[in-house]
Amino acid sequence: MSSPTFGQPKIFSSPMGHRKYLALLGALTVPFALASCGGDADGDDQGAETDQDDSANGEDDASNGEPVSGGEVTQVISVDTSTWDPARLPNMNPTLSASPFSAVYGQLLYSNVESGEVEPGLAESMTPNEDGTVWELTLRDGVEFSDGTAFDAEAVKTNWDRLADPETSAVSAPAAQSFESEVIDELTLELTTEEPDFFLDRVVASQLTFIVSPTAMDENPDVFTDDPVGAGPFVLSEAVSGSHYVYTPNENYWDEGKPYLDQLTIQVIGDRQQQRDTVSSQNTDLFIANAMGAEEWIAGTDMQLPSFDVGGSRSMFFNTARAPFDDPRAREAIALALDLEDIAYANEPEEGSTSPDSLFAEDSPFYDVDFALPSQDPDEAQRLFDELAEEGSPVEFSIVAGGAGGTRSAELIQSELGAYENVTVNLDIIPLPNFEEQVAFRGEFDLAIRPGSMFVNSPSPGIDQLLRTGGVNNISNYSSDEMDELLDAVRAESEVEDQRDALSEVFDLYLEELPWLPFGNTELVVTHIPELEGIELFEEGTARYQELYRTD
Amino acid sequence: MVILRAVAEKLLYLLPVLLLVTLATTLLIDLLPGDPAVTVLGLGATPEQVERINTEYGFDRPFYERYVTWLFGALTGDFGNSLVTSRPVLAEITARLPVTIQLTAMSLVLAVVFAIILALVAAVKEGSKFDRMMAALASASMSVPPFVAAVVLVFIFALVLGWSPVAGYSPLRDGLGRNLYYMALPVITMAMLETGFFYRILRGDLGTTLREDYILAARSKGLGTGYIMLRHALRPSLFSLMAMVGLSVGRLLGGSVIVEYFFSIPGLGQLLVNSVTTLDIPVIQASVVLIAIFYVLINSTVDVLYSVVDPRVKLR
Amino acid sequence: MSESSPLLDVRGLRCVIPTPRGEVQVLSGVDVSLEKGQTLGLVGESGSGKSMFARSIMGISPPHARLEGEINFAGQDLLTLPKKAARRVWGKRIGMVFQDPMTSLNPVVRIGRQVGEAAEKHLGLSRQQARKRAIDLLELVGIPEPAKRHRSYPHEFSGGMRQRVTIAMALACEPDLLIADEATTALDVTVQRQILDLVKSIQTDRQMAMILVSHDLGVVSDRCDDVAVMYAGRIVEKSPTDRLFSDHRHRYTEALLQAIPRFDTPKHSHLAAIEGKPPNLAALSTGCPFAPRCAHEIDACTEAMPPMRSAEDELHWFACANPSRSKELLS
Repeated sequence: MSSPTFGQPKIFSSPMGHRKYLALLGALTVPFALASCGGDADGDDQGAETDQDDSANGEDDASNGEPVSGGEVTQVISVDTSTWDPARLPNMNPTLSASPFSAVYGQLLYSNVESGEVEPGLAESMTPNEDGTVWELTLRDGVEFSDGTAFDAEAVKTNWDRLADPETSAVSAPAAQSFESEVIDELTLELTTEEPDFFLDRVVASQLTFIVSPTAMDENPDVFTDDPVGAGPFVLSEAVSGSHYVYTPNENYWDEGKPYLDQLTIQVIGDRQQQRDTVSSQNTDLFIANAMGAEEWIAGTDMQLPSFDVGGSRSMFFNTARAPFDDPRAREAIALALDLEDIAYANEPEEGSTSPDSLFAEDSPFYDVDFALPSQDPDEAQRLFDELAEEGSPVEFSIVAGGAGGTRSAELIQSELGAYENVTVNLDIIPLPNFEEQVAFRGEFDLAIRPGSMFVNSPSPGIDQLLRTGGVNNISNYSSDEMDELLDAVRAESEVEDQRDALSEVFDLYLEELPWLPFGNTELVVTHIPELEGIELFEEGTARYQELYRTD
Repeated sequence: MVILRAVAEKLLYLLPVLLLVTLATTLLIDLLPGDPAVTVLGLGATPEQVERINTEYGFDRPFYERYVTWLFGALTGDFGNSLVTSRPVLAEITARLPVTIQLTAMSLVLAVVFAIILALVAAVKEGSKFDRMMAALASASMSVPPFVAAVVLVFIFALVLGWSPVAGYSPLRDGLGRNLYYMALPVITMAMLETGFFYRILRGDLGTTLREDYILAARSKGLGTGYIMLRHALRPSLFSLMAMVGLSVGRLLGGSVIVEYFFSIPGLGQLLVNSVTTLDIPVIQASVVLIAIFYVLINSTVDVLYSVVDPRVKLR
Repeated sequence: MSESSPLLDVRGLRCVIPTPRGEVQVLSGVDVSLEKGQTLGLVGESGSGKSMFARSIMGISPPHARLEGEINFAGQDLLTLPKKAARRVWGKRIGMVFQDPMTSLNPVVRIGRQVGEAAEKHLGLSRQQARKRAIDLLELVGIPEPAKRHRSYPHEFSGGMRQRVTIAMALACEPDLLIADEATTALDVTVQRQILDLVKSIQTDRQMAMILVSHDLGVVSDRCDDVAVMYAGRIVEKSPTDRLFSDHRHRYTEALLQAIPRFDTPKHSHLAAIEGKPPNLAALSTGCPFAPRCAHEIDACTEAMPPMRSAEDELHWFACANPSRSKELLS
């Protein structure tokens, strides 16, 4: 098996800010855009025992006063969810399926959007044993699915077993296969891994967090197409495929008095310009997406724009499995030759589009782990190009890119490298839908600019899956036993200080090898009407819908 | 009765057309780059999973075999299941089709009605300021592609005036008023271009008709201008317009892809776009065929309508 | 209408049409007067302005044409009458039959409707009454099985039948005046005669006045009380019909008469016999417009337009500087 995989970046697409009409298809794929690598970062302890109440996170204008019941809220997302099957959930992007899922299924565990810390959800806690090989997942007492059946350990195990079953072809199969689970009692599940893994709770929070009523799966053939049954705060009351979902409160929701809202509507608006228009005309109460330049959107409106600092990057990947980038010097030469700031801006010409200084958010305990990308050094780059040419393996390659932003970046790279001797660049601009197949699945590329951005908030699964041999996000086909061992070492540490040290070693080797090159930062845009309170985000930016309330 | 028979005959001629369309669609989809199985499974797809999907959906079988299988399925109303949603393709499409039909039909009707009214008025006032202004407006509206019109309309009516939502849709079952509230801008967007085309062609034909002796004869009978325009001038001027309407259905269906996407209207166009993005082949195939059928049916209807408008056209 | 005043009294009718190359005066002061029940033949070559005259009376001159003068019908000047009031004259009190029955019937309107609609409007008939009247009229003009045929479309009729339909159309409101503008020109000779006889007999029955516009003197010869000859937008000679044939004065009339074929010959072969072409109305010189084609041109002809003067009595007028003396010539 190809090691556990977490945080599936399923789709690619051009990021925000491109000229939508020029590339209709590009725009159309925004759906699958933006999103990426789920991940989480564990901090101090490995349990998720914090109380929900103090988990409120970094909202600028944090709510004062008591939540009020009643009212309706509309949220705009980019693409309608094509399915209600957690096995088909491509990622945790809030502007894709994660939001519709979250409203209906709730979550076992939450990982804070900024710090990556795991917080309780439908499960009360998930705690490891001494060496991180056995975890105990404790569910809340008295939780029921919206169909009245019990949300118990057996139900969770049934869901996970289904995801692990190869027949299901689940996106999260590797995650579900990374441990054995055993029902201890009605509310307790024991998870056992072969190797120590103090990050398993993050895997659960990001990959295995949506639980469907097993009774409904057995008895209702439409459960994944039209009629999802979960234990979340809302139930789906109307779905207009391709347009909107209307949710009403789940009468069976475990947390008395929640959700506060009488109705939640999730509206799908695919076109970027129209999303922006919807926000700036205040036709939506809430909008969450990986985007930049949102200050401009809300200029002159009452819309609020609380800032959330998230980790991740926009990156280019070298194919380390074939020439010329099987040679680390070739990769280094590229990194030294380019002005990453410019490439980031070309990729997304919006304010705030720069190159990343860390892969983690400021709130993450891993934010300041040493991570310094090589700074531009044209002379050294030229020397490396010459050296490689002399050895008879000149740096000749093509860049695979798709979408407007990717294309712009690729063109800029080509032109910047034009100033160097002994390096030849071709462009291979492909339709976005083919990117995944050509690059990730077939590995037919030299250098690929990954559309959209990758979300990272934890060493594992985030970084782990980018660097581990066979990792889901290891587009570079990078394979190093030394690296795998270093990654195992990170997982095996229980204390955050030790995790940081272990991660630091990973980064040292990474910077030496540089299988992929982050060139741009990523931002999360959350904008909402002033009357909306209780915005607590988890994973890549999904709201906890039971906490939303209106002050008017 | 004659008309019914004519329609039935048209439908008979439709069969080879449909056969060709379905064949071409299957072939074209074959040429689409990308592997649907990988697209469906995602980044972590294993070769085994891909193979399972390919076998399940028959993507690994030769072209003719897939076509014949699909055709027989289609004949029995079974278009397979969507790769992405697992719902039957037919259910996916029937959920979307009425939306597109409504959008197209409303746009068409709006465009025809506006074009007729404006052309009649302009033709009466031939050479007037109004006539010249309309000629300029028509040219302008014809040169504005829907996606530009959409942006401008949204800016004016949604952002500046706030009369209309930016995007979205409300199904008819939730009330006609709400439905129209959301449909207004998309319909106007699509109708604008067509109104220009229709206006131009009808205004031209009306000009010719008004020079006909029978119009002079009607005027010599002391009939009112309005009566003459409606009773005597309009009908003989409709032939080119009708041909145009038939053609414009194709343009509207094409335009609906953009307009539905832009305004987030859950119609067939949006479904098609999403399906192409996700390589949902069963859905693409059925949608294209359906759109082709729709188009051919409309044009056959137009052919039949000629005989209604012009008694000289004999139904075969 | 008083007995003393004529039914139609056109005075100094001018019609000016602006064109890119300047204004063209297609009618240059036409005077025509017609009593109730009387028939006037209006004869001239194409371009002489006879059709424009007919159309000016019916208010269907070209959109930009400027009309001056008076068109008094039953004491009302149609040129100054408001459009609405004028429409109560057109179609109701004056009916018109057009030249080409192939084009003057609307191809997509049933003939019954086309015949009946004027009556529906002017006489306030209901749809049913109008239909009944249309059927009666169609019967009157000799359409077989009118009760069935009124639902037919024009293309289902022959040319002659269609012209009968247009006559029925013009007669719908029992007008006081019928204008037949080359009503038979497009038809073949035998049909021409039938139609003309039909019109004549209806006219006699109903005591209608009629203006028979034609390029063919033969057509008007035995059906009109008076004949007026037009040339280049003017009436150049006007007299009772028999006198025109026996005692015409204008050289143009003379040329026209000489061009009448001895026997019935195919249509449209007639006036080619007059040498030269009709004048260009946009570039008329002073003097008689016929002068350049006239075999009897004298100096006076080109100096000024010869005025209208009477020959013998008030019934016969002509405008020629060097008139013929047909009686003398014949004798």
